[in-house]
Amino acid sequence: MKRFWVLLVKELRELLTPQTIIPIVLVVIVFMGLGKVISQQAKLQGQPQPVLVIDDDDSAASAGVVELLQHANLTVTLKKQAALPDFAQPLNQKAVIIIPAGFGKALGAGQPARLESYTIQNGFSIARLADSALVSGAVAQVNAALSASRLHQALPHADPAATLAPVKNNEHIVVAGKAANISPAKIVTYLNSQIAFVPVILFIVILFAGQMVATAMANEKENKTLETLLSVPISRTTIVAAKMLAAGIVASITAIAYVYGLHSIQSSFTGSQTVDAATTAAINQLGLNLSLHSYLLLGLALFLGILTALAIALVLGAFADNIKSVQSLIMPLMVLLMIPYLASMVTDIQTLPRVFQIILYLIPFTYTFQALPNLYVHNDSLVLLGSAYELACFIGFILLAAKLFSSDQILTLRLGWLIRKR
Amino acid sequence: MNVLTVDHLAKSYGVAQAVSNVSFTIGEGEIFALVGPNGAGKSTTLRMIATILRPTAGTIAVAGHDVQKEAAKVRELITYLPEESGAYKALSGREYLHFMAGLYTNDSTKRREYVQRAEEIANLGDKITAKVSTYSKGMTRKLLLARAMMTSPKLAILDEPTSGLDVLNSLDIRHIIHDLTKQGTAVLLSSHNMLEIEYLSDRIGLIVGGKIKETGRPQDIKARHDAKNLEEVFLKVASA
Repeated sequence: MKRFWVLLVKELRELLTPQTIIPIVLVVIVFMGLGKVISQQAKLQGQPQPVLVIDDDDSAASAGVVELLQHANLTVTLKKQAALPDFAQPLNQKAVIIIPAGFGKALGAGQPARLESYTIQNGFSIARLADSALVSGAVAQVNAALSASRLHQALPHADPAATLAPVKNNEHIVVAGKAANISPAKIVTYLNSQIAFVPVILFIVILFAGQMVATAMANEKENKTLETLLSVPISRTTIVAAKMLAAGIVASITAIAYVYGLHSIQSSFTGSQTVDAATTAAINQLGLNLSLHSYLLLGLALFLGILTALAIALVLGAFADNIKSVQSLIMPLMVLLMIPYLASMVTDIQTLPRVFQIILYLIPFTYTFQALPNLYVHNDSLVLLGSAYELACFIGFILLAAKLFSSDQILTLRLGWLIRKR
Repeated sequence: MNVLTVDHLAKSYGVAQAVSNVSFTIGEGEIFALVGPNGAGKSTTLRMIATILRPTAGTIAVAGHDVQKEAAKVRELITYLPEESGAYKALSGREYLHFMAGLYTNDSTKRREYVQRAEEIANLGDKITAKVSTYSKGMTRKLLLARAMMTSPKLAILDEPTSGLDVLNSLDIRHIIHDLTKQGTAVLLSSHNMLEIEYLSDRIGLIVGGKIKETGRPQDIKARHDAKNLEEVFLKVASA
């Protein structure tokens, strides 16, 4: 056992170099910084946005519209009968709204009254998405207020809200056989916010673990240390286990860094949105809270996913001549990860054609990516079944790795050999 | 008792026969050199004795232990220095020796003894605390040789121990090898360098095309072939 620790410490020292530690630290710093920037942007978006309103109509109706715009979370700079500003010059406004002459007259005649608007789009990122809908959102509020006012004038005893939306939908959601009286969109949004980053983290961690162990193998070959290591009085199984555990530890450190960093970004998106009491009650009613048992099953699926990736990478790493060849060798593992990763991000596996379902379920990592969604709908048996399959895959690949390590092939296998074989 | 007994050893890679019917023995404190051109089967033979490659046929015994059946026991008794070998670059010379010593013993006192002995053999001075990545080829080779010798093995297998080194470093390494046999360690080495072989070896085996053509003491072999040096002998044997 002591010799195993000696090997493990050496492996960790080889893997935890400044070249690996600095990027991990940078990820945390960059993600946290990004989170702060996004958070500030979100706060700015929530504040009243500056718009220039040019009132060419100068009527009571146009004055009423300007007042309604001010209530639509806009800071209005009003100019009467002014020329359109030169957009080539800096203009500290998000939009320019023109109320043309005749606007009040058309409104009074019950005809559509036109506004002209110019949205000043200074970027095309997600953060700037709200800018594009600034004027249309404000105009929708103006329309709602004017419609309610007209309805009140025409039907003084009617409830404008009931007249504008005569049918009300009392929404319910059913999840895994349990129903709750709440908008499905609210629950889906909540669950999405909980699991959105999980596949990203799983992908990074599993791939990183695989790369680590393949690199450790390539290092031994490139530094010409493998032959010496194979001749010392320590079993090949111990060598394999030390390499795998070291890679697993480094991958876990990376996972923690990524989880922390991505959590900062996620918080910046959702920080201002607190879950209301109705949503919390519905979540409890639907049983959409993860229990300790669920977390243990999730941990098991992740652990087995990492172990399987390590075992596959160890086999692939046996073909490495040097560090450069690791990138090419790790490609099959990357493909095996990419397919269930993308599938879990963009689609529901159950809705795919049977042939794609079979392909996906043959890939052991599918069960890791699907574990959290399955646990939310209490499909624990599928998670357990998936874990058993992952365990079987791990045992298969680790036996193959052990066979390679205890044979001549660990010295004779090369990437070139593999290509020539094809 | 022989420290090493190699009997009708053979190794093939598919249809290519790398080593064929090789037999020799080495006694305690003896230096035996395998001499031959590139691709003659020297390194393959050494790797099989070092438990890294599996023989296709024949047997190898180290101090009476079969290399295939008792590989773990054999690894306790031998050390192996491959022709192309390196040390872990992230470690200092001393850390490397500590790491390697830890793979041979769980006893911390013994571990310290091994490291101390290795530091004396390597004789790298203050550089022993520097990262291996800063070492010259000669320094690395001395460190690796010291690692191979620190446990006072029954059998040290040294593949081209002075390969690519300058004259001074080569001389140092030859002295180290010579001194260690005084403690009873048997040495099996391979080399292209006939002068080195003549200086170092008690007995040699001339290997060509995977087969041992001749074994014996250098002076006896020279006399048998009426040759001034081993290079002449080698040319005669190889062309025969």
